[in-house]
Amino acid sequence: MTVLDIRDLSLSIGQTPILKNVSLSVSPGEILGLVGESGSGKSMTSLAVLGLTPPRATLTGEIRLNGQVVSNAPDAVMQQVRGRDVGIIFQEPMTALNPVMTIGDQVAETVRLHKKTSRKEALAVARAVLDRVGLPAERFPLTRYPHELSGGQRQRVAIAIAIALTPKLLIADEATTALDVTTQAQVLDLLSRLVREDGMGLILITHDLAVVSETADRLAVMKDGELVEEAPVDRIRTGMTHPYSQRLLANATHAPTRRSRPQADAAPMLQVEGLVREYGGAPALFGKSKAFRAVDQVSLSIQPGESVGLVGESGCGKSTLLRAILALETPQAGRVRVKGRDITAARGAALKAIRRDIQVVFQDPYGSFDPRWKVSDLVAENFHLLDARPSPVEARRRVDEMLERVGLNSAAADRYPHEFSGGQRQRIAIARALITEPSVICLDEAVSALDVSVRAQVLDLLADLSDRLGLSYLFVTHDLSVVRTVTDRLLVMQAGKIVEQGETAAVFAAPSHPYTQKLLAATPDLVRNHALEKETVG
Amino acid sequence: MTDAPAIAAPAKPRVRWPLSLIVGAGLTTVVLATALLALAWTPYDVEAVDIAAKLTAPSAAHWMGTDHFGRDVLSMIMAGAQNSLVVAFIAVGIGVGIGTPLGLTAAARGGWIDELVMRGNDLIFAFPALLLAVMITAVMGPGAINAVIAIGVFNIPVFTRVARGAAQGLWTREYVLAARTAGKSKALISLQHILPNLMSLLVVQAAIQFAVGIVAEAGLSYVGLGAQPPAPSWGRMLAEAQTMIGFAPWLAVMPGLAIFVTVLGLSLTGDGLRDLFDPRVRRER
Repeated sequence: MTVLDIRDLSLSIGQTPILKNVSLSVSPGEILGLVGESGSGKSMTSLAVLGLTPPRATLTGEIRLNGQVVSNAPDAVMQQVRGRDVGIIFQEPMTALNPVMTIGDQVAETVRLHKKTSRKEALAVARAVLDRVGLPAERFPLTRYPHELSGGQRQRVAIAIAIALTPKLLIADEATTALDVTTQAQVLDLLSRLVREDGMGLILITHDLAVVSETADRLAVMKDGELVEEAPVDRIRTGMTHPYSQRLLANATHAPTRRSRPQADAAPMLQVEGLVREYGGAPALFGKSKAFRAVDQVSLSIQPGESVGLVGESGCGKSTLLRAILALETPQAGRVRVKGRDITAARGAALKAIRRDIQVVFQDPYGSFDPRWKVSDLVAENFHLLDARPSPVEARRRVDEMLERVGLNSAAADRYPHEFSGGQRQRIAIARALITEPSVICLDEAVSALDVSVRAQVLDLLADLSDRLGLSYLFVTHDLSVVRTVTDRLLVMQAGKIVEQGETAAVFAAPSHPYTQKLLAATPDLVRNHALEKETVG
Repeated sequence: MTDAPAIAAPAKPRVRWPLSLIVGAGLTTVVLATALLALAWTPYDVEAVDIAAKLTAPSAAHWMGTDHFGRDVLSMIMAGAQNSLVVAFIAVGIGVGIGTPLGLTAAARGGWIDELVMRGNDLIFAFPALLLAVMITAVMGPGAINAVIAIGVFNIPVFTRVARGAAQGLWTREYVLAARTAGKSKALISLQHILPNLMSLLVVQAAIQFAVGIVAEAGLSYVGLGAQPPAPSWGRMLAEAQTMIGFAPWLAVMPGLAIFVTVLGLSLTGDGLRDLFDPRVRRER
């Protein structure tokens, strides 16, 4: 008896087919990893199960939940099914909870909607469920509000709401994507435990093959609305059959080939010495006000052609450090030297001259462009740093050249940023950073929001540009799997301090600081799983 | 896909004009056209006194009747529209022209400049508008120009707040950070990136303040602090009609209707523009 049985599910919106003949099943106590890149239809499949498809969607095929046909069921029926028979957890723990309701009331609400119990009984159920998801009464009373909780704790509340009525099926749609790796590991553990204890079926929707390989029992790969492969999760190790799945796996562990080596004996490109950035606390009535030290005595240096990774979890101060390096924030102490010149002390023309040598690519391929500007103007914006600005014709020629260099057509220049995909936008951002021929590029989570295949392409581009132009990179990221393949050296940051640094390979092989060990242990890692497999086989 | 209903070619996304914008813009256009027409032509001379025809009810000769001096009410309302619109327009101009740069500066600089601007704002907000108008006219004498100044001053903090609030949000955007790494000054970034992206908010606010300005001008004229006789003004027409409302109600109803239609038109335009610019609101409706 399966919990969920989907047969030949097709869905189209207007004339556009979104899902094509998807057939899937989930058994009690089973974790199915549903993997695919953006637009593959994995989220739409789960929405179809919940009867939450968009208004103009037409659906054919059959969805059975606990034997009951729910495809094209009226909304009144689905309202009963949602929450009682199937629960869902979404990606964003910030917006999934109501900010003005206590966590107790939010869990109790689901209970009361489906069972005609008193508020008191519902709250008792809520208490028990919150205990189960690891939010004990002494530290997390029912009267807590979402803003008093961390991201991981909020996600636990969301899980509590989803499992309050012990549904037969739980859907986790990128539920751990927004979390730090250590928190992600805890939440995945919790989900696995709940599945075991309750005999639920769990669909784990994710773009991250590594998460699936560590958590799921079975794996389903989707591409363009079709299910291309369904297999036991061991296949990730023993070899997947469909070319697309193979490519997905290769992209996820992709290591760009780099020909040039960093010049260890040359003068450093970027040098940070004893950098301190504090944020003032509220002024105290008596005594000194307490300042929060986001960056605490950080020193680092980057050689020409070197690629350095800076990793840490959210709130560790890595973004603040990056902004201080880029002179977007003024540090309280310390120096940042770019090719020997102090950017923290420079003003006016001198600052512009230094800025030419250090540029940045931000994370969000949607937020890093003014939506009202054309690509040609966006890329040309950094010409502002030049003493003698090129004529419009010359500027356009150089923009076109740069766009071609990052793998875009020069026709892109006349279009607006919203007309491009995430990966293309990141190429435009790289073109913008490169137009003044800098020596150091800072990448602030620059590939984190991209699909693995696009990410692999962008990493290749970066490696290629480094080879050709002798660029140095500072990769700021929370994602250890990215820095592993592309950096020479690794810095690990915790609570404003660099707690460990060394050759990337050495740090991965033998982390010395307890925090680094914890971080590495929590990171779901396809490469390590491969290695483990070889060890046990050998 | 056999039982899927046949659907015509996918509808192209097109702009759906909000109904409130269509109606509002229509009303506003009528008022504007009337004011413009009055520049060249009114049915009767606005200042022509005809005692013989005093207090005639609306008729074919005088569509909106005449007042106690026998002046044609329709002509006075047409000419009064000019006065109301010009006063409100310039007052909005003062608000946008001074308030927006102040708000942009406050958001860009922060710190004590922000404090100074915002506390100054609070001061003006806290001060009763009518009292300020009385003060200005007491010092400088009554008149349309002083009414403009008094209303304009109260528009400044409105636009400062709108501009500052929105700009603060934009300053944390990555494209603004990127512009800063391009070495651009805060003033240049405010001009190139911040202002264009909050333009829609300002346009909506301007339409709303325009409507508020019409009411404020009528209020000031009503108490004798606005346009001075013989220049026609809706507010003063209302004030003069007060004693005659029992036997010549049209004297109060007509200017009242004029104010109502104008304010309604501008408010709907403001609402409609907001819906047009804000896709979230547009989808919900």
